[in-house]
Amino acid sequence: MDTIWNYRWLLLQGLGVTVQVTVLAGLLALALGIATGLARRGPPLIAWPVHIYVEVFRGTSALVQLFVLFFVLPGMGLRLDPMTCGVVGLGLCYGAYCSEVVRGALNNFPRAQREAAVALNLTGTQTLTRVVLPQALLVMLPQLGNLMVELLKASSLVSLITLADLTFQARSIMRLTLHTVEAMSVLLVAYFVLAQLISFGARALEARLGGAWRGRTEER
Amino acid sequence: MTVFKPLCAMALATAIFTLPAAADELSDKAKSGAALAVGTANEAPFSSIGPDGALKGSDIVLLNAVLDAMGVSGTEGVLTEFGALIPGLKANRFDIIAAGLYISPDRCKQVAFAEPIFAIGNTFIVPAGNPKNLHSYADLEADPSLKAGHTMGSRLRGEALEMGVPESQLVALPDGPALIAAVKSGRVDAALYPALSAQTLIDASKDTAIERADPFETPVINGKPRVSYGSFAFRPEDKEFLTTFNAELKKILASPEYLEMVRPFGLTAAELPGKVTTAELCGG
Repeated sequence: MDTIWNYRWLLLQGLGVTVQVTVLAGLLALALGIATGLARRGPPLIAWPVHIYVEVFRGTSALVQLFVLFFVLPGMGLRLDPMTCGVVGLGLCYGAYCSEVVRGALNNFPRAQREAAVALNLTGTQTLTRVVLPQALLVMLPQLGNLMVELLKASSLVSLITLADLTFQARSIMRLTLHTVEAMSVLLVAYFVLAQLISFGARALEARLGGAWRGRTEER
Repeated sequence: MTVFKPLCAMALATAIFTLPAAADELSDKAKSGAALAVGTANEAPFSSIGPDGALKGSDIVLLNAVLDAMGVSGTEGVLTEFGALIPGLKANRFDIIAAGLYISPDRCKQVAFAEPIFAIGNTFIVPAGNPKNLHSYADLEADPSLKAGHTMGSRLRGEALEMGVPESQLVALPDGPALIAAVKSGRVDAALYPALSAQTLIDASKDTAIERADPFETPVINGKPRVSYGSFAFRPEDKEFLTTFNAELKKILASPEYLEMVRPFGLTAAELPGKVTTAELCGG
């Protein structure tokens, strides 16, 4: 273990990169997912391009998307720095998955409640923010949490585009010292702890949103 | 030194998409004082990262010495996967590759190599005491029950096949550590590996269960001993820069100080490239 201790700064730097990529790409994926999930219910002129986005980014591998962003786009005159490539690449890819989760939750929303909202003379925006989203978000959260854990693990792909993340640093240490078991154990524990943080966050949000919504309906 | 075949295929795809750049941007970049981006990978003893995060290795010290002599001041090292090096150079992500890259005709079609900086033979990594008594490809070929491991996409696979070892005796594994694990667990009887890297790996692991086959008979193909030559790689467009670079490189390689510089990384006079030129090596 003392070998690993010698390389602790590299591992910590790697952890920093992993967390940064996961958090930023996660935020982008959630924002994109919700926006495009809603847009899929809109007029065909908006819904169709969004549909194509979802199918393209869900249907090609994240590794290839990162490769194209990083190595191919500079040849076409668009040069993004490695971190931007990683965040945009994983964000676009996982945004497509999130989009389907959002669409599913909205499609299964009880029709009677929408009709009731119309009967109460609520505007479209009011129906969305006051009636649909508070309940649909609760349905989406477990699946979105799931996708965020997936994203955390997919973040190790960024080593291809010169970002030295946690997995890359651990593999470097393995190559240099052959302490495979120790380096792998560190990875195992680190990813497990990070994944637990994400699921804990998702569950806490679920409890909070659930409570808030119930609280409000009871008041009225 | 291993090449990930799928990445090479993708590199080709990149080559198709990449538009040719204007004449020798690298000389202009160096003159402007901007730091040159050096693409490198963990390929000890040529290039690797230390516990403090600083790059070290024989390629790194030599590169810095040559650039100093050229009056180029700043470099910025980018550590990445070996397979991402050539695609990165072609996409202008790096200006120079310094990672013990072997010169091969296939790679010459993608990048422009400087003149050779080292010549290195290969070896077998075997269990301590060499229980199967393996010292050459002929020993391997003699017993069809023996297995030899090599890294995926390694040029050593081709070498073993040329030396008459049947494909059924060769096993592809992902990287050096996996090869050593396979030797130790008896999954393979020998691992084919570049000699210098094998020594570095064995030294680093402080593992007494494995050793280099000693002696090892260097294979001879078409009357020529099979050694691998390596060097720095540039974009083919940066011709003018490469010409100046080669001039300074030759001076430093010929100087006695060079061996002093690379001694800490285990390179000796035996690894000097001699008179072979990159043009000859690119010709096959």
